[in-house]
Amino acid sequence: MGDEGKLNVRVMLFGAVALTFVLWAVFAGFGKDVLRSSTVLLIGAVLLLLAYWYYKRNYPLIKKKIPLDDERSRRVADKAMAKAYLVTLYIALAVMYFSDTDLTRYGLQPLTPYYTALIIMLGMVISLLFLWVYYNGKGDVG
Amino acid sequence: MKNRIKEFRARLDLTQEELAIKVGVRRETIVFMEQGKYGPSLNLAHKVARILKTKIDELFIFGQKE
Repeated sequence: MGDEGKLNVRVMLFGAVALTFVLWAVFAGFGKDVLRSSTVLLIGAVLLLLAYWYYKRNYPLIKKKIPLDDERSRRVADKAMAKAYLVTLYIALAVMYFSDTDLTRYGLQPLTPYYTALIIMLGMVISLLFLWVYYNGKGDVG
Repeated sequence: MKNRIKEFRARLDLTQEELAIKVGVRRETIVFMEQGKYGPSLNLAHKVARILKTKIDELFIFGQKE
């Protein structure tokens, strides 16, 4: 697959995931769970913005025949994913530690399965983004 | 690892972007390589050397850090 095809597939995947979040938000909104609905809608909007940014950033490069990824960017992505996985394990451990604590006393949401999954997923995505930016600016990632 | 990519690139009057396109990598990779912050694979080093019309051992100075 050419780089233009690769870019289109990636942007479509981003779009599909974002659309899933938006639909999820709409159905949660029908169920009157406004907090859940707005949280999920926000995630969908962030994903859509990321897809747009990714497309705007990479399309001109492809036009100039600069590849979408190379050995360094693949190494950066691999390392960021490996470290994000470790960070996610720590987040999961922290969530387990607080599972018996009454978080509503501190004005936080109780750790229902929904919020537990949301914290772990968001933790993974956010740590992946930060780690990718960090390793991408670092140079050697061997 | 120290290298002479910038020097050889200047001899051929190539910009970083032109070299990146010829080698088939992103410009940032060439920037980090020139700064000695990225150690390329043997395959990439060979490609860069070939495009800069030199040999790997002339382009990269092994055993020295920036």
